[in-house]
Amino acid sequence: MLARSQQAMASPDRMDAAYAQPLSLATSRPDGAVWLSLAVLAALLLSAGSVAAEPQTLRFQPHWVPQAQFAGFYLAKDRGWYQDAGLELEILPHGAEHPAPATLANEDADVALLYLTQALELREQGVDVVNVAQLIQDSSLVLVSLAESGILVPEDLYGERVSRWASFSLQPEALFRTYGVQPETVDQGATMAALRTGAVAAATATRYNELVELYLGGLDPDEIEVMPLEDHGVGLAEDGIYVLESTLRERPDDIRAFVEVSLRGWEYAFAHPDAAMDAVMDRVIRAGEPTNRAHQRLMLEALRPLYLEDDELRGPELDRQDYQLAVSLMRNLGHLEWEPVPYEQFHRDLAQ
Amino acid sequence: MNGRKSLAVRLALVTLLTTGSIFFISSGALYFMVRDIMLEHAEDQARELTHATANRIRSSLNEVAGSAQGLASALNSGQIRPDGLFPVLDDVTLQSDAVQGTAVTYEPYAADPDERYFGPFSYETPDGIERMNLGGDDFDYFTRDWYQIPALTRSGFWTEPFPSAADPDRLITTYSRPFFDPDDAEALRGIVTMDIELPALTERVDEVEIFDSGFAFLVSPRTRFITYPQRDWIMRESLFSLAETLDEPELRELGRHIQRTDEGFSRVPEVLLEEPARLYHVRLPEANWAVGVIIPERELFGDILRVMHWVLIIAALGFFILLGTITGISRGITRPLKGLASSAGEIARGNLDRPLPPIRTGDEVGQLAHSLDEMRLSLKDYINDLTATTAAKERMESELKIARNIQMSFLPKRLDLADLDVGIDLAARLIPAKEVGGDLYDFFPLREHNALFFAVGDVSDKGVPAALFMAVTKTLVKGIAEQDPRDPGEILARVNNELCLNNDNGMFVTYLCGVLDLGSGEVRLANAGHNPPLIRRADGTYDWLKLPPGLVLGAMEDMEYPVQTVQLGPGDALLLYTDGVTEAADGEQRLYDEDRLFELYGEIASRPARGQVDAVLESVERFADGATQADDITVLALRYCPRDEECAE
Repeated sequence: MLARSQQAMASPDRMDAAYAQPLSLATSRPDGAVWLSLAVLAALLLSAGSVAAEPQTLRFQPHWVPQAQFAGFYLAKDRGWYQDAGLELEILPHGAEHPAPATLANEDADVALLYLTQALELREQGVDVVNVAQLIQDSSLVLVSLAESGILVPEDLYGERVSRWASFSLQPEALFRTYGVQPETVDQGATMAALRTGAVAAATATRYNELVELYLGGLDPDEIEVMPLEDHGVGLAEDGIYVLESTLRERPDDIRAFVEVSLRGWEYAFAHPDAAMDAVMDRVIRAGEPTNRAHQRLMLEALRPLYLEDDELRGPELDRQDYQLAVSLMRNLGHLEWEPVPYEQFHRDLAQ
Repeated sequence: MNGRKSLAVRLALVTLLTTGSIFFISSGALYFMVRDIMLEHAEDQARELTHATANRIRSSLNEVAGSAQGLASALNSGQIRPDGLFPVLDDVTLQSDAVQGTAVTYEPYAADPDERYFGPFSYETPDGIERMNLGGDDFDYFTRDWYQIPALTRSGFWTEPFPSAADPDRLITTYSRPFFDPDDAEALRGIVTMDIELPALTERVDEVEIFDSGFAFLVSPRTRFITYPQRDWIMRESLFSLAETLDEPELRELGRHIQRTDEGFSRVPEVLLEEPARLYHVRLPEANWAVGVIIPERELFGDILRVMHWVLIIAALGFFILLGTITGISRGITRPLKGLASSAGEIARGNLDRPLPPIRTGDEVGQLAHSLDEMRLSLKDYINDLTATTAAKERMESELKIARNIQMSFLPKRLDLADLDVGIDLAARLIPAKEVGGDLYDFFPLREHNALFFAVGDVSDKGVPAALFMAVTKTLVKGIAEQDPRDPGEILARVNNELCLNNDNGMFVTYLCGVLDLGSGEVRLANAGHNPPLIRRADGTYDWLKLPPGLVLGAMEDMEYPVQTVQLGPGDALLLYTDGVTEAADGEQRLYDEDRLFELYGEIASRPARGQVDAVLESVERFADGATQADDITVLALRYCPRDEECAE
């Protein structure tokens, strides 16, 4: 009972489980090799079969639980825009139990949303993923602390206990190294309870989820101190649309159509937040997520500046320098051993 | 009478407004005071109920916490070995009604050097107790709140409630507590957890009833609803999320208030229940939850509102009665007043015969009516008197007018010298003042003596006595002068003696007379206290004519009046006048005076007598410039013209 209940408990806002999977991939090299061989095999099989098979169905794997982070995709599907573009889009069940990197590597999905670091880790494991559209160009990651603890600059972290997601330790580590501080780090759970109870002095958070959670937990903006990683040179690009290189080779039109329609969905979501909320809440309730409309609405508003600049979508190009920064950070911290592929091979601009 | 201005309406309006204001202020104050009292009572009631509910929950929580504490202590002391845990967990779980499952989870490799995860767990199912081991690559319990927070804080921790996976309607919460190495109290070995089902607690909260629709609810540390009448909010919405969705910042403030205070009585923003309500909350310090009891104000203040309704109804009736009473009283006052007003109007129009309406009240209105009636009668008498007086006065005035006419008819109109072979140019005029006056002039020929008598006089008084005195003087002078006209002094002496007889009134007359010998031009003049005449010679020179003094006639007997003789040549002239000329006053009381007359005479003396008289009168009138004439004005001009041509210029 506890096990089951813990799973249920895990579902709302838990990131650790989701990133536990890619972490385990990254740390266990034999697994990586298996993935690689599986992927190659699958690619061969798929390319052989794709000539005969109807390329109508496209399986899409979002990388977290149903929430406003995927509003653009939900809306485009609900409006039938994928269908209009000749795609039968299947949004796969998503959440902690459905880690997107593994699903994509296993070819259980044709398209997946991944963080740039996750994609690079897949590459490290030999999975030839390709970025076909970068959605979030900036890092939404911040270090957050209660204002009363007086942590204003990275140096203040000295001797403090800081929690970070094991699968997301790269950027905080880079930050600590940059400023030469060595706080006590602990793995971060799914909620902000550790920060609120004082078990940790600072925690990692995304602007669109954990900061919203803190606000909706009754903390006013002036009661927390936010240290954006972006401001300290360790911010990395986040959500991007990824496919296997083989998939792109075999179904370039479907992928292009998917990207175009999805971007349209995002434009529409930001222009019509209420419609976006309806689409999001519909899935939230069906999935039994205990979140609420207020949280999702605030999430969408927090995503707005990450997606839009002057009311225009900033994507879908992946910035070359963002790519280089991610690569160098990961190499410096030992997260990448292999020489990564050149930018041109990693990111494909489908518009060309 | 205009209805808007009527006294009755005004009185009723003012009285009603005043009493209404007093009533509303006092009943408003009463309402708010009673409201405060009721609020206090409701707060007491709500406090008691909330505490009772909170205490029941706390006792359950404490029971579980106590069990966990006992288990942790046993583990601390090393009484229980990891491999012998399951039977203990089974026992603990079965012993307590509240505990639904018990687990002991160890730090990595703490229980077994080969095992990263070690977490024996016993839990109840409808089929009996079940066992399992927690932890694994797919279940890294070290980052769970229930493990990590007590591990880091070294103290007990209650998790946020969460729905049971077996039944999403059943809520579960976990109490966890760290335990340590028996040999090293600082070294954390693991965490004891106990799951409890919330329905047993939340049912108690749901059962709470206060007033008709008051209810209780339970919120988590984030103010998420653990139980609430609106079921779809449970485990989904918090006061903060509702504050956003309903766009009600006050709701957020309420949430923060609940989080940050141990207990309190607050107003609930209307959006929550769609009506005003009050909330009493008590925070459970163990789990940081809060129990709240909400009472709609509608019910809280229902009784007082009902009372106020009745008060208002009674007041409305009272106002109607008051209105009727005031109207009645003011009608009683104004009805006789209306009669009086009508009578007063009649009196104003002059109808004094209509009697006033009978008013029997002894109040101020009655007194007014009595006074008004007395005034009417007095007015009537007065007007009757006035009518009689006016008639008498008119008669008198008419008689005076007649007297005046008679007086004027005494004065000679023109000089008839037709039968005398001599030229005399003589003119005289008397302008009477308003009343019958006392001036006189006279002239008449004395044929036997080929002479002309002329005179000017002024009786000292005015009115009928003066007129009579003047008439007497004139008659006496004429009578005596016709007998012996040679000596005007003698004439005046005799007239004086006659006038002094029986002159009890002390009246007198100034008199200047002269006798002109028509043949020689010699004039014999006598003066009884009169103004000196002016004389002009044919060569153009002129001057005051100095006469010997003599006393006014009628003052004292046996007076002598010396005679002065003046020789007039052809063309010489005399001007006689009364003090009506020299003492004529303008609007500023300046007198015409002798100098002005003297100057004027130089200009006009060569004119015919008629022209001289008119010029003097015209000059005086111009000088007076409309000022009232106080005295008679008399002017007599005479020119001696033995041959007609010498006078005709």
